[in-house]
Amino acid sequence: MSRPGFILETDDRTPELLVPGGPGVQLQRMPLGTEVLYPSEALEHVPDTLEAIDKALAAPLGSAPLRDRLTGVGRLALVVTDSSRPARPMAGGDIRSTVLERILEVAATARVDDVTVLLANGLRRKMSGSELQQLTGERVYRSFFHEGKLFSHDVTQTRSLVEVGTGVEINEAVAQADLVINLNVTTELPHTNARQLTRGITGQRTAWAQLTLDADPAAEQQATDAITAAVPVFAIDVVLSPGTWGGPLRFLSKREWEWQLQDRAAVAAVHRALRLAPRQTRRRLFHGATLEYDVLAVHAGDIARVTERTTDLLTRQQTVEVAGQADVLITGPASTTEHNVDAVMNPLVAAWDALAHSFGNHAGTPVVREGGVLICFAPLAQSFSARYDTAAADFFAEVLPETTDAAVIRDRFETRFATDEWYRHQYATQGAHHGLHPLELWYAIQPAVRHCSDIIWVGADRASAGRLGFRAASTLADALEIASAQVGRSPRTTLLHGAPVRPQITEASA
Amino acid sequence: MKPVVTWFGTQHLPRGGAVLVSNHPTEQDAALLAGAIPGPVLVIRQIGDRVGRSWGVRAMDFDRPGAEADLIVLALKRGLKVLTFPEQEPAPTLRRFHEYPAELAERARVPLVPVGIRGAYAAGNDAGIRIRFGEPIPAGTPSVTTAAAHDAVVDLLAEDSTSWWQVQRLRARGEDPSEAVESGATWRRVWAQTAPPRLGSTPPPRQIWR
Repeated sequence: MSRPGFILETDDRTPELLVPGGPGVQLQRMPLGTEVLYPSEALEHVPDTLEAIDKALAAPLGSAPLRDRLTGVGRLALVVTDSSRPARPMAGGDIRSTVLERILEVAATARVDDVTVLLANGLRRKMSGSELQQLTGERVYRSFFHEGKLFSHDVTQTRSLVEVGTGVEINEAVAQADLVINLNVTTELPHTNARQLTRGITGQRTAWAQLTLDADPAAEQQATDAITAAVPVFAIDVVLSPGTWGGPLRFLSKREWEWQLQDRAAVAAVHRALRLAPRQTRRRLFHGATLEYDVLAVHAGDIARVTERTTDLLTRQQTVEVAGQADVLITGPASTTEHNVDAVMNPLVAAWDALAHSFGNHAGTPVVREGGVLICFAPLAQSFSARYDTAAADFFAEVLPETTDAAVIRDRFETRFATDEWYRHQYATQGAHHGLHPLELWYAIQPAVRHCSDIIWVGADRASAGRLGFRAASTLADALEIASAQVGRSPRTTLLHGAPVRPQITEASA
Repeated sequence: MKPVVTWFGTQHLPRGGAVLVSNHPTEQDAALLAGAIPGPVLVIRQIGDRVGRSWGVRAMDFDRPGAEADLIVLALKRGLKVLTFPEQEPAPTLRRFHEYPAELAERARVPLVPVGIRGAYAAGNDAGIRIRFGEPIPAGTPSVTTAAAHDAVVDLLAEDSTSWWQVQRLRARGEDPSEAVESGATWRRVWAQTAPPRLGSTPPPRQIWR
């Protein structure tokens, strides 16, 4: 049985603790009385992954078995989660290749001839050939890629989009299929099966209606309804456990008081090496690492039933009860996020991960009170991937110096980033993120910006923090000093000790 | 020139004991496979089959294995991987499999893992050698598992020359994928085996200098 998440209150014997702060190891002594929120350990995983997949396909939820659903199908579209989830590659081969092979074996038995495998990347960058091979496996890749039957979706290719409802355009391979199998690899609650369809394989207009500033929540449901009404969908969710580090970095997945001698030696060595090594070397050390994920469950069948089961499971996995809100929340970005796979972490991605992903993952009430202060650890280096972050670099250099107001950005700059031919070309042919991608990140952090009275970045590039509209501090003590103007001298402080954790504020103390 | 060896499907190798059954195009197969299999491997060869004489290679008569078989079964149960060539001697084309490897697997209750080697017969060519491991076949009646292992090796070789999806479709239609590997007269099959093993379903390699 896995150990649940819990809160540790620091005292004078508490050693330095790990804090998230981008790629690297940050050890920080916390102020006395800080509540450290530790996530739950992984729930029990399935004993045999192949058996779990076969069982889910043979006895799906609210649907006939896949073998029956495939009978008489001429065209099959397989929609697959792109490399952004999980953000770090899976050690020992990607689960997608295993599931795809099992599905295709059933499809071959049912004599399905026309198969298209489509990566649901949406506004994120398209996968390269080698990435597709890594994700889908050599067998699937070689069977379909060179025939043009395995590719990443392109939101800008209007010629290959088909309108299936008012304002809902989807990829024509999906629209023309007799059956769509939507394979969703998920580790987090927002990554639902339906959302993979509505944002991953739709046109730019449809996807942006769900991602724009203060988007209408009904837009997503409308898109889901239109797609499921137009094509029959067989949903598959593969729910993964939180990733655990292996090898010399395994201490990152352990609680500090459980570090053994070799872990302590590794902490000291890595900490020292990271301080001395140049930035590129630091990045390479973390980027080359893979994480170990276990399969918690495989759910297949009706999209609503599958989503319900997955949501229940992930809620159990991630929820930690917290008595009342804090005045100060300390957090930081993970070493790699879904928006910077195989790329440097630019300041926008760092802000997104800390302010939208970590802060926004809660059960209705944020862990920090309204008007509280958010303290984040991240260098916010002004580094952008020359290949992937074309639009983000321009957004940071040209838009943010003029204004950080999201509403003004929407009114003045959104059209340019949506229609610019250079960004479109970079996205369509060079594997860059879409022109609207930086705006998506910027809009996503707005709830945190509105909720908190101050956001302070520790150890950050001052110019970067200033340009983002935040403040920078050299040390945690300095940050708390700055925060004291808003929350007083003895604030209630909470540290999010690694993701994913979904704080649930209990009513009795809230 | 030393050929480039690439292997696929090593994730199918079980952590514990297993009997690996491979096709046998050349005398160098044992050495080729030893580099692809993690951990210690015991190679069992038929007497008369020249696969190298070194530590870790045991010669035995598949028809009269003798008492040594008990030790091999014990080693399999303890997690050792045993590599065998059920064709018994090198041949350019796939031949009938001896049932003895499947008997070993059945006695030790460990799976059979099919292995397909392509390109080794013409080792030295530019296209290199490709080794594919298939899904483990659970232990069972030796005649049944031997036939399953033979089919699986045929599939792996056909998968290399065509594609995995094409093999799946042929099998689903009840057709034999070995047609893609072994068709025509003997000399044509040998001729095909000595040609560089082009990877199926891929475009021809780009050549800047013609």
